[in-house]
Amino acid sequence: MKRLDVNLINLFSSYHVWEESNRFFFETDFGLKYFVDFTLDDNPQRVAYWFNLVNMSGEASPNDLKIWQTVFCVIEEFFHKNPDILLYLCSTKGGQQAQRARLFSYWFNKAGQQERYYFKTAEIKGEEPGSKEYIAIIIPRSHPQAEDVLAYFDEETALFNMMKP
Amino acid sequence: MEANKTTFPKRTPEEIRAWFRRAKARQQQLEEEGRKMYEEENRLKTESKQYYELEFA
Repeated sequence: MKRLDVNLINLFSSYHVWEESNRFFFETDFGLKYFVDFTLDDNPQRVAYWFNLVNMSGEASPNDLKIWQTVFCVIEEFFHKNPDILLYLCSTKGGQQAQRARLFSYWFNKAGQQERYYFKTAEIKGEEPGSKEYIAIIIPRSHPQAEDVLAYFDEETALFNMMKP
Repeated sequence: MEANKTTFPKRTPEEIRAWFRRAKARQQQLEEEGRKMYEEENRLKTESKQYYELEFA
């Protein structure tokens, strides 16, 4: 992954972002600390990274628009330097994965990102009987394999849901 | 956008499940690292405060 420029992120982000060991940290007005991590996916068919947003304190966050605005600045800079694919798996902490998926989708669309990116979420069966997980894919509309990648995502999530646990 | 059939080689259901489990394990590892870092920071803050109070209060 090409290195992100934290100064560019900070030009527009609501919270100040700093980098430590290729992770991007910020602290909110409410004293909550987060970091963003990008991990290369191990599927050799295409170049993709797992995007992870970690709430370090683990405490519930109030409805804070600045968190999402900051996260999207990091994502923008990621795609600026790496015109690849992002995968996002909603954390199941506190059983809030469905809300996280809805929030992420809501803020993504509200931020006008859909003009430049395809964004798709899928509900998949969790490991525990009856549980659900939410997975999302973000890909620049300019990506040369965008349609193929989205079709692949659809096929694999459908196949996943057909499997017995 | 309606997605069509992909031209990527298909993975088996077992491969997809293993792929998902690895992603989940990585997420849980990061959450655990985050929690430990947060606890360590809080511990250092508390110790610094106690030291300051003992030395300068």
